[in-house]
Amino acid sequence: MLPTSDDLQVIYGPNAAERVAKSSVLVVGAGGVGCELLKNLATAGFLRITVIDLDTIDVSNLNRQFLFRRQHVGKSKAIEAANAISKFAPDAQIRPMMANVRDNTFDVTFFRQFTLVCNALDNLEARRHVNRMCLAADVPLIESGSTGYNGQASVIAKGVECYDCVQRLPQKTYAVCTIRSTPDKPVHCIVWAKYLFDLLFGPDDDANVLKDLDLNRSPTPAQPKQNGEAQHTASAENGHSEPLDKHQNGQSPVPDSANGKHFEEQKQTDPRKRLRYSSDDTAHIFAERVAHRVFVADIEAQRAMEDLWRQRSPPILFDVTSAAKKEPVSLEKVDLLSQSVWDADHSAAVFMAVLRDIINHRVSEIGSLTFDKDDNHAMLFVAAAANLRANAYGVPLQSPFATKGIAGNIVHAIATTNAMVGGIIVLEALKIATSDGKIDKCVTTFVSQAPRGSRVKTILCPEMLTKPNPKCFVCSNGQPHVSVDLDQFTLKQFREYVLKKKLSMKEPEVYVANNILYETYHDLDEDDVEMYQSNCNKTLAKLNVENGTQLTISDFKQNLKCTIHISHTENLLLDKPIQERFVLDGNVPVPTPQADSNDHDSAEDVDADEVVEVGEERQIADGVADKSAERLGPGAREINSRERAQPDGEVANAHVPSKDRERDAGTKRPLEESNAREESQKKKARS
Amino acid sequence: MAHRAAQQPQQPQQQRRYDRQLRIWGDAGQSALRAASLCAISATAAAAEAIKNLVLPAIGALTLVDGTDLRQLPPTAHFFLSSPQRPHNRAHALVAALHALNSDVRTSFIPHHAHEFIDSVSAAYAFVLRFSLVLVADMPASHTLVRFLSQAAFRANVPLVLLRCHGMIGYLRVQAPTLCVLNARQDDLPPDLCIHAPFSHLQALADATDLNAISDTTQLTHVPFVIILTKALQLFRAQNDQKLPASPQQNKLFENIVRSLRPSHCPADALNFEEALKRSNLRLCYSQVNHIPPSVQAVLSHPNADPRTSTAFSVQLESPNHHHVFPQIVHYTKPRPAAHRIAEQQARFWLIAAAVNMFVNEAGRLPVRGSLPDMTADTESYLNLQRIYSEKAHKDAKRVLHFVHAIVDERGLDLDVDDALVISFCTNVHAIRVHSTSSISDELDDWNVDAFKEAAMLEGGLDPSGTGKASPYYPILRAVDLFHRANGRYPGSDTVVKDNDIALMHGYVATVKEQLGLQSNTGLWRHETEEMVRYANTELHNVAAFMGGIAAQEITKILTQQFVPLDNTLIVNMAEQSSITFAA
Repeated sequence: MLPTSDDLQVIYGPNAAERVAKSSVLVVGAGGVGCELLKNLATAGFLRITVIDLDTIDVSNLNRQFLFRRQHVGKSKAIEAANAISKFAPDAQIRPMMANVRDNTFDVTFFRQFTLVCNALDNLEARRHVNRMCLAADVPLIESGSTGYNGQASVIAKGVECYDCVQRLPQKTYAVCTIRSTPDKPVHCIVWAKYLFDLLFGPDDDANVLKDLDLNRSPTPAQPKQNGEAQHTASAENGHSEPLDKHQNGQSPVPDSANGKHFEEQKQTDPRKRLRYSSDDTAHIFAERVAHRVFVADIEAQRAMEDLWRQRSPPILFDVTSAAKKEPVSLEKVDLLSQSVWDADHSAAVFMAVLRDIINHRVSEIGSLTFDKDDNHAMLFVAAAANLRANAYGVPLQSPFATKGIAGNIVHAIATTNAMVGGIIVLEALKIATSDGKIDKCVTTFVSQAPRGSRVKTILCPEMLTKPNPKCFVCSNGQPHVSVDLDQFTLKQFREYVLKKKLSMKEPEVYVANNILYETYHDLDEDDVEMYQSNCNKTLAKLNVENGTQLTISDFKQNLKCTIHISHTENLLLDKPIQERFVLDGNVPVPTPQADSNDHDSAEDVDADEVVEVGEERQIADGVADKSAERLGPGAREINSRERAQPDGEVANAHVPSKDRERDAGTKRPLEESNAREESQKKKARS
Repeated sequence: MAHRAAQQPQQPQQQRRYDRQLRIWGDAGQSALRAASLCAISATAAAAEAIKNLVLPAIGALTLVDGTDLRQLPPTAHFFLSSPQRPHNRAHALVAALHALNSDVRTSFIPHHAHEFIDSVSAAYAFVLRFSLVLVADMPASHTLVRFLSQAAFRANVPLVLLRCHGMIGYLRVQAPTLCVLNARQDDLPPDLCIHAPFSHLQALADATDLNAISDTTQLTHVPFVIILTKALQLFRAQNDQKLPASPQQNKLFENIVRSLRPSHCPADALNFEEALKRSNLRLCYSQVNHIPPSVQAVLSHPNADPRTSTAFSVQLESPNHHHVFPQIVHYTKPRPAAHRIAEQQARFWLIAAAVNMFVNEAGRLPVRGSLPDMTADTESYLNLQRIYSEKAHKDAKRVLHFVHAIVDERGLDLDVDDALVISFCTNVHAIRVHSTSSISDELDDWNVDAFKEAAMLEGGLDPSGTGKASPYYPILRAVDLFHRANGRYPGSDTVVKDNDIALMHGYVATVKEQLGLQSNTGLWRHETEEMVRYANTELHNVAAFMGGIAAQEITKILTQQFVPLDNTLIVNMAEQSSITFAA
C-alpha cells in the first residue's frame, strides 16, 4: 500500500495531492452521510474543511454516525465530528460551526471562500438555500442523499441542472374533514393525535384543527357529497371540508345540545371549561376531562351528524377512564419501540397515565410543548390517543413502533448506504479539486439495494449531468406563474406561503412595475417600515396587483431575482387551508373535490382531500434520496414522480435515474406496509 | 434539555440505538444479525470499512485474522488505525478501534496470517465451521488460501465473500451453495388475493352479494372488485369445465363475463367494475402450477423442500477428519458461547417450505397472506373483507404450523421452530427465494464464459472503442491473478519494472481472451490493462469506503435473509462510476 499522496498522484496526475490539500471544502450536515464524507475527505488528503450542523447527537444516530460515541449524546454534531477528524488528521484545519446554514452569517462571501461545497442535508429548504448560495457564489456543489438501501450523489454548478430545476413534490396533506370527523387510515388517527397533543400542551393556536374541542364548540360540520357520485376509494373519500377560518371567526362557543346533555351526567367535568389544563385542575381531573370530552362527548357529537354516517359506520363511544382501570400501566415499563400492537384497553391505560404524568412532572412546560417524536411523553400520548381514535372508527390499531415511524416521518437509515454515498461524493470532490474546479468529468450516481436495470444489472448507476431546465427561476431566468384569488390573498400571505414556504426564499422583496410593495433593507426609515407593514395586511388586489401583473421578486440573501406572473382566479381552492390556496405553474384545478391523483398537472394539485399537513418537524439527518418530481412548467412532468420520505425528516427530494432503469420497490418502509399504499410509480422516460 | 430528559419515561437504549435499521429489517432481521459471527481475513482499509458497517448495526461477533505488523507497513492514512497508541498487530489494532464504535459486539482476533495455519481444505473446513460467514479481503482469487476456503466453505454451507480493491477498481464476489431469502422485499409484486381458489368465507361473501339486487347505486359502485371477480370466475368455471382461463381467448371470455356482471342500472364509470376489469388479468401472471409465482415455485420444488426426502432439515455436517491446531483466538471481549450458523437458519427455512408444500398439496394454493390492496369500497365492506382475509391468513398459517410439527415428529427432528417465524414466512410467502452461486474454486478452473460475455456485451465492454466500462476488469483481474501466481506480487507494484509488468500483463490478458474465444491480438482492453498496472495494488480510501459499504450491504442481506442478494460477482470501475454484475 502506498501513502496517500502517491495514491492520488497515480490516479489524478502530478500535483494532485497538493491541489487537494489546498482546496477548502464546506460540508453542510454532519449526520449519516456527513460522518462518512468527513472521514473520506480527510483520508483523501483534504486538509481544510468547514462543517456546519445545527443538530445535537441522539442515541438513534449511533447505528451509523460512527464519529460519535455514547458519551457524545446531546453534544453538537459539528463539534464532535470535527474533534474526531482532527484526532485522525492533526494537520488538517477542521472548523466546526453549530449553526443553521440559512443563517445570515453564511452569505455569498462566506460561500465564495470554498473550492467546493458538499451537501449532506436532510431537508428541502436547506438544500434549496445552499443551491442558490452556491450558484450565487459560483462554487460547485455536490448534492447527496440516502434512504434505506438507496442513495445518490450529484454535482451542481452553473451550466448544469440545479437543485431548483426539478420541482419537488409537496408534503402529503389531508382534508380537515378526514382528520376531524372521518378517519379511515391509521395515519389519519396519528395526525389527529399530534394535533390533540399540541392542542393540550402547545402554544394556544387558533389554527389547530381541533380547536373546537378545546372550547367545547360543536365539531366542524363536515359535509359529505350529497349526490350519489362514486367516492373513488375507501381510503380517499370525499375531499369536501369546510375551511377552518369560517369556524375560527366569530362563532360563539356554544356547547351543543348533545354535549351539554351528556355533561350533566358527568359531574366531575365542567362543560364550560376549556379542555386545556388550568391551575385548579388536579392531574386526575384533567385526564378524565380530556378522556371524556375526546372519546365520549365529541364522538357523540360526531354521531349526531347523521349525514356523515349514511355510507359508513358511525364511530363508537369508548369509556377510556374505566378501560384504563382494568390494567393500569407503569409508564417506565411501557416499551415505545415494541412492534406488537397495543389493544384499546392498554392504549387507554397509557393515555390516562401519560396525561397525569405530564401534569405531575412537566406542568411548567405546558403551553410550550409541541409534538416531538423523541419526547417520550409526546410519543406515548400520540401512540395511545391514535389507537383510541382508531378503535372508535374501526381503523386497525398500530404498534407504538409503527406509530412512531408515521408520526415522526421516520425513514430508515443504515451505515452501508451512507458509506457508499460518502465514497461517491469524495470521488466527485477529487475530480473537482484536481481539475481547478471544473465539473466536466462529474456525473450523477445512484446506488440501489438490488441490482437493477433492464439491460446491465448493477447497483451503481452513473448518469451524465443534464442541462439546466430553461424554466428554472433560480438558474435560468424562468418566470414562475402563480394563480391566486387576489381579493383574498394578502401580501403577507403571498410572501409567507408562496415566496418563502413554496419557493424557499429567505427575505423576498416585492416590486410591481416601479412601485415597491415590500422591502427589507435594515436601515429603512420608520415611515417605510410602517408602509410595508400596512401593505402586508392588504390583499394583493388592494395593492393594484391584477390578472396579468408581473411582480419582480428579489431576495438579496440568496442573490436571486425573478419575475412572477400573476393570474387571478376567484375562490381558488377554498377547500384547502389558506396556506395552500394558490397554484404554482400548473393548471388551475376545476373546482371539484374529485381530483384524481393520477391526473395531476402540477405538484400543487394534490388530492383534494389532503389538506392538513403532516411532518411539521424537520431534522438534520442523512440526506435525501430518491424521488422525484416534476419539472417546472405546465404539462412538463417528465421524470418519475413518487413521494419519498427523507431520512429522519420530511419528504425527500431528488430525482431517480431515468433511461431504462426500473425503480426498485424495496425501499418502502417495510414495517409499515399498511401505510405504504403508495400508488405505483408513474414511469416516464426522459427521452 | 437534560432536566427534561430526566423527567421523561426512559426507553431501552438498545432499541433506540438501532431504531432506524429496525425499520428496515425488523426484529427478526436484527436477531439474525445479533446471532451471526463474522470472520474477516486481512484487515485492509476496505475490509475495515466493511466491518465497521457491520459493527455499527451490531453484528453478534467478529473475529479478525491478520498477521501484519503495522510497523513494517509504509505510513498510510488508515482512518481506524491512526491512534498513536495502537497495538502493533493490524488485527489487534483494528479490533480495538472497532470495539470503541460499539461495545455490543463480541470481538476477537488471531494475530497471524491465515495462510500460515489454513494449509489444506480440511483445515479450512474445520476453521470455517466456527463462523456464520467469512470475508476475505485483498487476496487474489487464485491464492491457495482462497481455494481452500472456497472448497471448505462451499461444503460447510458457510457463505464466503471476497473483496478486492485495486486503485479505482473494486471487486466483490459472493459464494454460497444456497442462499434462502425469507423476504425479497419486492413490493411491486401483485397481491395474491386467492380469487382463483376462493376460500369458503370469500366464496360465501361473493354468493351473498347479488349485484342485480342492489338498487342503491352508491352501494353498487362500492362493491369491492374482489367480490366481482370471484363471482365472475365462478361463472367462467361453470361454463368451462371448472377450469381457469388459460389462453388469451379464454381471458377475453372471462373479461366479458366481468363486464356482463355490471347491472344495467350501474353508472358506466363505476370504479369498482373498472378495477375488476383491470385486475381480471392479474391472476394469470402466475401461470405456473397452482398459480404460484415462479420464484416461489423454485423454492417449493427444490429437493430440500420435499417433506419426506429432504436432507436439509438438520445441520448434518461431517466432522473435520483431522484435528487441526489453530493459533489461539485472542478474545478482546468476553467470548460468545457458539456461533450461530446460516445452515441452522436454512434448516428452518426448508422445514417451513416443506410444510408449505404440504399445504399447497392440500389446499391447491399458497397460504393467504392476509393483506389487501387499496380498492374502491365503502369502509364497512373493506374492513369486512380485510377481516376475512386476515382470519384466513391466520388459519392457513396455523395449518402450515401443523404440518411443520407433523414433519418434525415424523422425521424425528431436533429442530425448534418459532411460531412467529412460521407466521411471517406465510405472510411473505410470495417473496421467498432461493439462490445459489458457483464456487470460487470452480470459477478459477472453469468460469462462466457465456454469462460474462453477455454482461460485457450489454455494457459495451467487448467494444474496443468503448471506454470507462467496468466489465473489462474481470478478465484483467484474472490476468492479475496469473501474474501474481507467477511473480508473487501484483503488476505495477515494483515501479522499477513497471514497463516490463505491462508487457507481461498484456500476455496474460491475451491468455484470458483466448479462454473467452476472443482474438488475442486486438487492442481490446489494452488501455484498461495499462490502467490496472498503473493502479498497482493501491487502495484508495474512498474506493475502499464505497466497496466496504457494498460488501457490508451484501453481508447484511445474507445474514438477515432479507432483500435480493448479489449473484454473484460485482465489478466496479470507480473512475467512471460504472459497474456490472454477473454470475461467474
